[in-house]
Amino acid sequence: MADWDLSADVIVIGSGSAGLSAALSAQHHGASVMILERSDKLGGTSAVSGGLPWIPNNNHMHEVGASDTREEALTYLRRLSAGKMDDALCETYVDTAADVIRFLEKETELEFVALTIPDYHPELEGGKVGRSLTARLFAAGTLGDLRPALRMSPHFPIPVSLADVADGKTNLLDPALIADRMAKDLVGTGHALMAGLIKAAQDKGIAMRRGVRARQLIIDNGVVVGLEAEADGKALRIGARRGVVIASGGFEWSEQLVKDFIYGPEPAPLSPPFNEGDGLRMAIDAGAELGNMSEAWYHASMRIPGEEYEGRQLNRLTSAERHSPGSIIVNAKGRRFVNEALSYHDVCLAMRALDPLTFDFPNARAWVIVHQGYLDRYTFLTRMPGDPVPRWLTRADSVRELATAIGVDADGLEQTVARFNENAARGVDPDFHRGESAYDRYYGDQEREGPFQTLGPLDQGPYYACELRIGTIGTRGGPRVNGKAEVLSNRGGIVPGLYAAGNAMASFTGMSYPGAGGTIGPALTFGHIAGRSAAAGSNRS
Amino acid sequence: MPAVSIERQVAASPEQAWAFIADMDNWAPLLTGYERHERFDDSRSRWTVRGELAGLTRVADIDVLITRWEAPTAIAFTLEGVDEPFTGSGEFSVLAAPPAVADAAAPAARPGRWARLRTALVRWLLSRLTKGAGAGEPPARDHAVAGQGGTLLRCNLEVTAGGGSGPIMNLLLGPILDTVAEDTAGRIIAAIEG
Repeated sequence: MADWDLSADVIVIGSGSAGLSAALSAQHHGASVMILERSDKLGGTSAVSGGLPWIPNNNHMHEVGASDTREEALTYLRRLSAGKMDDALCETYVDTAADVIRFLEKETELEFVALTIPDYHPELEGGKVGRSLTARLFAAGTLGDLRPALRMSPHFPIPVSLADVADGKTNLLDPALIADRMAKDLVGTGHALMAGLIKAAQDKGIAMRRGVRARQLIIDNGVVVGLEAEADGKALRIGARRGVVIASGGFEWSEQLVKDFIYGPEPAPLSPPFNEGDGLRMAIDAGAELGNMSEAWYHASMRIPGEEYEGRQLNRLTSAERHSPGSIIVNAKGRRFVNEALSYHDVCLAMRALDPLTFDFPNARAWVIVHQGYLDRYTFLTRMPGDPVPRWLTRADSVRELATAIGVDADGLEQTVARFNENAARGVDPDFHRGESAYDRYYGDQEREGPFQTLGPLDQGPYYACELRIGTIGTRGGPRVNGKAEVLSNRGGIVPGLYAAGNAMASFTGMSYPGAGGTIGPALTFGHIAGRSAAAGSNRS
Repeated sequence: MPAVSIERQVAASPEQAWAFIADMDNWAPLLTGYERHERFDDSRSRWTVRGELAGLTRVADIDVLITRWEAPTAIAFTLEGVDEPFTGSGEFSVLAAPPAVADAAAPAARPGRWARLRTALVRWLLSRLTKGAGAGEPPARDHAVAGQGGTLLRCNLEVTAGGGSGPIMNLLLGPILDTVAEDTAGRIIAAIEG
C-alpha cells in the first residue's frame, strides 16, 4: 500500500509513559519510530501525575532496606485481584518490570530511587514497602526546543520530587532551594519522568509529532499497516511498516463511553482532557477483544471553584485532607462510610457502593469535614496553615450548623462526630479501622505517634466542609493483549500489527490498585514489551 | 517583595490621561486576566481576575482600597486577596512629560535578594506562560516616542504573598507582575491615545 504522507517502522499513538517506553524500546530493537500526540504537549497523563512506577522486586528496594520476591509480588497481586486478574499477564509484569527500569536507567538519563511509601495494603500477604520508585529531579532545560512542549502539571507546580518528601530532610518551602531548582530548570514528579523519557527519545532521533490525532487504523489483508490521522484540519495517511502501538490513554473524558462502560456514578477526570478513547475506538473497529471495561483508576478528589486546566474544571488530588488528624468523610446522612486514610482509589470504591434497597449510591455525594484545629496545622488543598480561610470551604460555628449549611442530616453528623471523637481520643476506630495500617499513617502527621498520626477528634470550632467527589486518573479498560502486548482479536488469535499499552489497554489488575505507581509501572512495562514486539514485526509473518 | 515600576509616555494631554485613569471602569477591562469588578463606594471595590500558569487557570478576588486621591496627578491604593494570602499597594501618577524621553519604558531598579536569579526565573516562567518558540525572552518593550511631550504615566505596584506558601509564591509573582504590567500598560496607552 503506497501514498503515505508519513511513515515509520513503528507508529506509537500517545506520548505518555506507555508511549515513550514503547518508542524507546522499538528504537532500541532496530525500528524507526514516530510518536503521534494529539495535543500540543508531550507527556500525557503521566506528566501531570506523581510520576511513580510501582515495580515489584526492583533493583532499588535495598536502598530503603526492603526486599521482594517474585512469589511475594504475585501473592500480593492475586490477593487484591477479586478474581478478575489476568494471571498470565500478571506474571509477565512481575517478571519484566524490574528489567524495564534497568533498561531505562541505561538508555536514558533518568535515575530512579525507591520510596518508603507502603503498598496500599501492606498488611495483606505479600504487601511491602519499596516497590514504588520515583525519578530524581531532571534538568528539563536539556530538552531545548522541546522544553515548552513538556506538559506541566496543575497538581505539582513547583519542582519537587517525592524523594524529597521521603527523605524527610528537605524543606520544600525553602525559597532558596526552590529558586535554585527553578533557575536550573529542574523538574520533579511526573515532569521528571516524562522529561527524561522525552529527552532520550529526542537524542535517539525518534520523531515526535504534536497536534496529530490518530482517527482510524488502516488494515490491509487483515494486517494493521498504518492509520489515518488529522493534523491542522487535514487528513494524513501514516504508514507503519512493522506495527502500530496504541498508547493513547483511557476514555475518561468521553461522556458517552463512560456512560456506556463505567458502572455507577460518573467519575470526574483528573487527567488532561484529551483522553477520549481514541485508541479504544480504533481497536474496536479493528475487531479487538475488549477487557476490564468497567474499571478505572479512581482518585477521591475535590474542586476549587474557578480553577481550570486546559479549559476544564480542575479536579484536585487529595491526601492530607483524608490522612491528617481532625478530618472525617461523611455522606448525606452524616455518616462515615469508609476508612478515610485508605488509598484514594479504595476510598472511591466505597463511594461507589450501591444501596439496593433505595437503589441509589448513598456515598457518591460526600464531604470532608474538618475542625479549626486541622486548619491550624495541616494543608487543605491549596490552603496552608495561617492562610485566610477560603470561601470554597463551608464554615459554621457548630457541627449542627455545618450540617445544615451543606445539606447533611444534622443529627447524623452530630452523632458521627461525637462517636468518632470519643474513639479518636483513644487512638482507635472500631468502625473502619483507620490508623491500623502503615499506609493509613504514612501521609499523616509524622510528629505524632502510631494511630494518632491519622486519628484525632474534631473538637475545636469553627467547623468546615468541602465536597468530595469520585475522581479518576484514567479508565483502565480497552483492547486485551497477550504477553507480547499484541492486541487480541475478538475472533480468536491476534490483530496482526496492532499492540496496546498503558491505560489504553485492558489492565491486568482488574479492579485493584496495588500501590503508588500502579498505573505507570504497568504502562512502562507493557509499553516496553509492545515496542519490542512491534520492532520485531513478529505478527506480520 | 515582588514589585514592578513602569513608566510610559502617552500622546495625550495630562487632562485626557487623568480623565481616563480616574474612572476605573475605563481601564479595568484592559487589565490582563480581568473578569469583572464591583464598585462598593468611591474608595472600595472588588476585582475578579484570572491568572494562568502552565495550563492551570485560577480566579482570584481582590479587594482594592483607594487610600489617596490627588486629582489630577495621583491615585494610591492597597490590595488584599479575599481567598488568597496576599497584600499589595500601588500608585498611578499622571505627569506632564518632558519634551524628550530617551527610554521611557526603562523599569526602575529592582531591589531584593533574589535579583541574581530573576533573569533565569523569567525564562523559567515564560517557558510555561507561552506555548511556542521564542519563549524565554522577555516581551519587547515599546519605547515612547521621544520629543512629543504629552503625558508620562507611571505605575508602581508591590504585591506580597503571605502564609505558608508565601516565600515560594513570591518567587513566581515577580516575573508574572512584569508581564502583566507590560501588557496592561500597552493596552491602556492604546486606549488613551484612541
